[in-house]
Amino acid sequence: MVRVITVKYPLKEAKAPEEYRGIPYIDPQRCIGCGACRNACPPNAITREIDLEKGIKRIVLDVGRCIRCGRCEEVCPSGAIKLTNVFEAASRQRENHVEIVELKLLRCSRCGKYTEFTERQVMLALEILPREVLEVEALDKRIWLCRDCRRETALSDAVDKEWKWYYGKLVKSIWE
Amino acid sequence: MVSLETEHENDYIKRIKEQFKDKIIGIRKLYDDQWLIITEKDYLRDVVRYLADINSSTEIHIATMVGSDERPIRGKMSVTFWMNVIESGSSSFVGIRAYLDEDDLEYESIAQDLPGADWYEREIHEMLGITPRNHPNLKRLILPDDWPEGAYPLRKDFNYSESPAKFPGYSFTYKDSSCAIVPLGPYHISLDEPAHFRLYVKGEEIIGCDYKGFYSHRGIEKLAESRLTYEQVNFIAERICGICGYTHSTAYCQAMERIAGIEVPERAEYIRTLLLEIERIHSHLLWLGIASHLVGLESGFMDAWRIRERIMWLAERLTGNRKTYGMNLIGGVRRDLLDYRKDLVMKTIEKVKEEYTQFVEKLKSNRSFIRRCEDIGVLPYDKARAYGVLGPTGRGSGRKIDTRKDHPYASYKDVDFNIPLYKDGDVLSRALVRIEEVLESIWIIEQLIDSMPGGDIIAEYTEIPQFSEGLGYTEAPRGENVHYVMTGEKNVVYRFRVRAPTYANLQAVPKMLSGYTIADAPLIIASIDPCYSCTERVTIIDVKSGKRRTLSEDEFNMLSIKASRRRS
Amino acid sequence: MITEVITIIISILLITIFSVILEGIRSKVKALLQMREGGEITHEIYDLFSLLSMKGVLPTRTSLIHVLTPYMTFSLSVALGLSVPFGLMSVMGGDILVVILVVLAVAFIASVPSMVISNIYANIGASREVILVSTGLMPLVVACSSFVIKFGTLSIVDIAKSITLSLSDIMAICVIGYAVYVLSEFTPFDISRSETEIINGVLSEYGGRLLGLMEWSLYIRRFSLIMFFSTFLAAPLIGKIFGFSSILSHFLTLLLQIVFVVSYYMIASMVEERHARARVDHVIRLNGVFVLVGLISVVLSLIGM
Repeated sequence: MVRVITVKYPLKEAKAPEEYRGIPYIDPQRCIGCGACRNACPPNAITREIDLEKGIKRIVLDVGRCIRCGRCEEVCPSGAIKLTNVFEAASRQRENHVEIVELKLLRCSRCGKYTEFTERQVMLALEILPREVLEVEALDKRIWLCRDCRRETALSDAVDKEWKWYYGKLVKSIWE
Repeated sequence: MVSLETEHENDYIKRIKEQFKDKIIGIRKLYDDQWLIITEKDYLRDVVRYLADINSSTEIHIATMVGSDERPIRGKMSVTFWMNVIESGSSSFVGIRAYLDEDDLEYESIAQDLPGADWYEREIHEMLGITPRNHPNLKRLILPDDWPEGAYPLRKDFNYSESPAKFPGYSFTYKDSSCAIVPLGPYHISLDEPAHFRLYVKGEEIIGCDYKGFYSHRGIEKLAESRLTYEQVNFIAERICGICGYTHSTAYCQAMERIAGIEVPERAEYIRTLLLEIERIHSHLLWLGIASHLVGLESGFMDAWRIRERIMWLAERLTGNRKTYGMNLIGGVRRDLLDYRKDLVMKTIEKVKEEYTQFVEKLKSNRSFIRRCEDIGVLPYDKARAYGVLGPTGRGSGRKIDTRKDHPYASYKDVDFNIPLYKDGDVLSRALVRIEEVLESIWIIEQLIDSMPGGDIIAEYTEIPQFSEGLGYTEAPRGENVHYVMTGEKNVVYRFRVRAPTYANLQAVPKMLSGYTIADAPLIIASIDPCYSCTERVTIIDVKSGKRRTLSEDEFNMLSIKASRRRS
Repeated sequence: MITEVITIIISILLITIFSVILEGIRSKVKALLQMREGGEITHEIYDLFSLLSMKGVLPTRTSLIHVLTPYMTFSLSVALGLSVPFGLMSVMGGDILVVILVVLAVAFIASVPSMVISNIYANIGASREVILVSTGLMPLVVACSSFVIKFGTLSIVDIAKSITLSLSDIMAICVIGYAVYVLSEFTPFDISRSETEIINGVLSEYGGRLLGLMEWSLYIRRFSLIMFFSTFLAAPLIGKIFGFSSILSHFLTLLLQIVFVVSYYMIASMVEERHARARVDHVIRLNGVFVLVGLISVVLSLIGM
C-alpha cells in the first residue's frame, strides 16, 4: 500500500554485504604465531604472550579494541587472520570478545630450552625457502636450535669444516 | 642566517622582506606552495599583522597555528602562524615562526588584532605554557576544569598516560546580572555532541553568549606523538571525526607524502577524490536533515536521511564500512575500484540525483521552513574575514574561498566544478551553499568515473626524512582542514597538529547569536555545521564544573541516587 | 435515562482511552508519510501505562502545588471533555462559555506552577504556553460570539442544530477549526514543548507518574477540543437527514462525530508533517489574522448574512 523502507530489526534479520569489514577471525590451523598482525594493529587489539616455562605462545585478539581496519589481514603471511562479515559483536560477558590461539614453541634439540619462535614458523620458513639455493643438510642441523645454541655450534662447525678441508687437501697431495 | 633567494619567490614575501629587513632571521621554501619565515619573537605580532592586512581584496586567514616543544631538537620552543594566502593560480601557505627560549616563553598576543587567533593562543598557553601577553580573554579552553596549573600536556616531558591530580574551578567571563541565563548544554537535545553555550537572555531575546567546549578532547595529537607509527596514525586520524574522517586521513597522508617526496599514482588520487566527494554528499545531506529537525520539520529530516542512506550503502560496498573507509595508506590507497563497482557508483549517483532534486524543490518551497531560516544568524563579510570563517559558513557570507580551487590537491585540478557563493550571511545562505555543493559533488563524481585512469594504486617508499615538517590540507565538508606534521625518529611523528574548520567557525558563533531569540539559537549553532569532535580531537574526561545554577553538587548526587533506585 | 447512562459511559471511555489511541493513529500516519514503519497504534497507550506505573519524580525545590498540579490538570481536562457534547447531549451542560473558561483554566494550571520552578526551560515553556492559549482563544471567542449573536443561545448543541450554509456561519466554522488546531498544539504551534529548543518546555521538570498524568491531560484536552469542533459539523448533517428528536439521531451524531474526529487527526498529522515549527511572534501574528476573519464573521451575522 505505502512504500516503507525501514526494517523491524532485530526482529527481522539483517545481513551485511559481502564487502563489509566485520570482526576478525583467526584460523587456528593456519596461524604460525609470527606476530606480524600485532605489529601492524593500530589500537593494539592483538597482543602476544610468551610462556617460556611451558613452551606456549598465545596470540590474543580482543574484538572490543579492534577497529576493523584490516591491516592484520594485509600483513599476515599465512592468510590465517581474516575479517568476517559479522557485525553483531554485542555480548553480556566481556570474555566473549577475546579470541586466543595457542601455539607450541620450538624446543631446542641441543639444550632443551624453549625458543621464542613457534614450530609452525620454522615449518613455514622451510616451505617457502627455495630448495635449490641452500644446503639442505646444513639447514636441517641449524634450524631446530635456539639462538644461543646456534651461535655456539656455528663456531665449532666452522672449525670442524676448516679441519676437514685441510685434511682433504693433505690426502689429495699425498695421493699425487 | 642569510635569506634564500629563488626565482619563484612570492610577491608577498618580497614585500615582507623589504618592510622588515633585518628583523627577519631567515626565509625557507619548504615546498612549492609552503614558505617559512623565521623572525624574532618580539616582531612576530608585527609580521603577522602586516601579512594579514597586506591586501584587503585578497582572502587571507590563519590556516593553523602550531606550538611545538622542540627542546630535544634545538633547545627552544616554537610558535608558528601559518597564513593561507589565496590568489587565483598561485595560492600559498606562509608560515611565520618565532623560537622561544625555555626561560622566556612570552610574546605579544596577536588576538588583539585578529579575532580569529583567539583560540589558538589560549590553546598554546594551556597546552605548552607559552604566554601571549595582553590577550583579551586568556581563559582555559581545552583542558578540563580540574586540571592543575603547571601541567602542560603537549610538552615532551609529559607522558601521554599521565593523569594529574584534581583541582576545581571555572568562571564564565560574560556577566550580566539583569539577564536570565539559558544553559544550552553540555547535554542538550539540539546539540549532537557536548558543548556549552551559555545564553544570556531577556524574555526570549539573546543579549550575549559565552562558550565553553572541549568536552570530548581525546588527546589524539599526544597519542600520535607517543605510541603510533606513521602508518597507524592514518587510522586514528580517520577517527577524529565521525562525519568527515576521511578528509583528516587524506590530509595527514598528503602531509607525509609531501615530506617524503612520494608521488602518489594518478589512479589512487582519483579514488581518493571520489571518496572525498562521496563524503561531502553524505555530510551535507546529514546537515540538511539536522537543520530541518531543529526547526521541527520532521519530514525534511526523514527525507534527507533516506536519500543519504543510498550513499552510505554505496560507501559500504566500495570500502567495507559505512563511515570509516580505512582506504588511505601513505603513498596511495589500499583497495582498488573494480569495474563492477564503477557501474554501481554511476547507478547510485543517478538515483540520488533524482531523489535529491525532488527533495530540494520540496524544501525550498516550504514557506514555514524558509521563514525560520531567513535573516537569522547574520554574519557580515568583514566579520567573517576577520574571524577567518571557512567553508559554507564563509561562502554564505561572501568569502570566495575553497581549498579545492585555491590549493588544488588530489585530482581536483583535472575536474571542473563551481563554487556557490552567497552574500547575505544568514542561515538560509549557508543552507543554499550546501544544497548547491551537493549537486556540484555529483557532477564531479560523474566526471571522475568517466575518466578514471589505470595503473598502480600505491607507491612504494623506502625512507621518510627525520625532523622535516610540512602541511597537508583538504576541503572538508565544513571548510579548510589543515594538518601540520613534523616527522621524528624511529618511525614516530614528532608533532602532529590538526586544525579542523569548526575550530575557526565556532569562534564566530557568539557574535552570530546576539539579537536573535532562543528559538533560533539551536538553528544558528547548527548552521556552521559544528563538528565538535573534529575541533577537539579529545579524550572523554569526566567534567563536573563545580556549582550549577539550580542544583548544588549534593542535590545533583542525591537526585541521581534516587533515580537509579527508582529504576531498579 | 438509559440513553444518558450509555452516553456517559461511552463518553468517559472515549475521553480517557480513545484520545490516546488517536495519538497513536496520528504518529502512525506521520510515519507512513515518511516512508517508515513507525510504532504500533497502541504504543502510546503502552507508554502512558508504563509512565503511570513509575513513581513520580518531583521537580527541584518544590512545594505542594507542584505535586498537585498534574492531578488538577487531569481533572480539569476530564471536566473539559465531559462538558463537550457527545451525540446530542452533554454530561456537564454543554455551554460555550464553560468550554472556553476550562480551556483557559487548564493552560494556566498547567503552566503557572512551572513559572515558579527554577528551571529556565520550564519557565520559557510556561510563558509560551500562556501566550499560545491566550492568543489562540481569541479567534475562538470571536467566532463563537458570531454564533451566539445570531442564534441567541450559549448551548453548543442548540447552536449546532441551527447552523445554516450562510457565509458568516461558514467563516465562523473555519475560524473555529483553525483555533482548535492551535489550541491542540499540533506542529506549527507546538512551541510550548519544542524538544529541540527548550527540551520539554512546560513539562521539563516532571517525571514518572506526574509526567504521565500531564501528558494524558494534554491528550484529553486535544481530543475534547476536536470533539467540540466536530459537533458543529456532525449535528447539522444528521439533523438534515434524520431530524433531532429520536435516539437514533443522537447515536448517529455520536458516530459521525467520531468519524470526523478521526479524520481531523489524520488531516492534522498530514498538515503537521509539512510544516516547521513557528516562532512565538509568527504565532501571535497568525492568530491576529484569524481574529480579523472572525470579526468579519461577526459583522456579517449582525447584518443577517
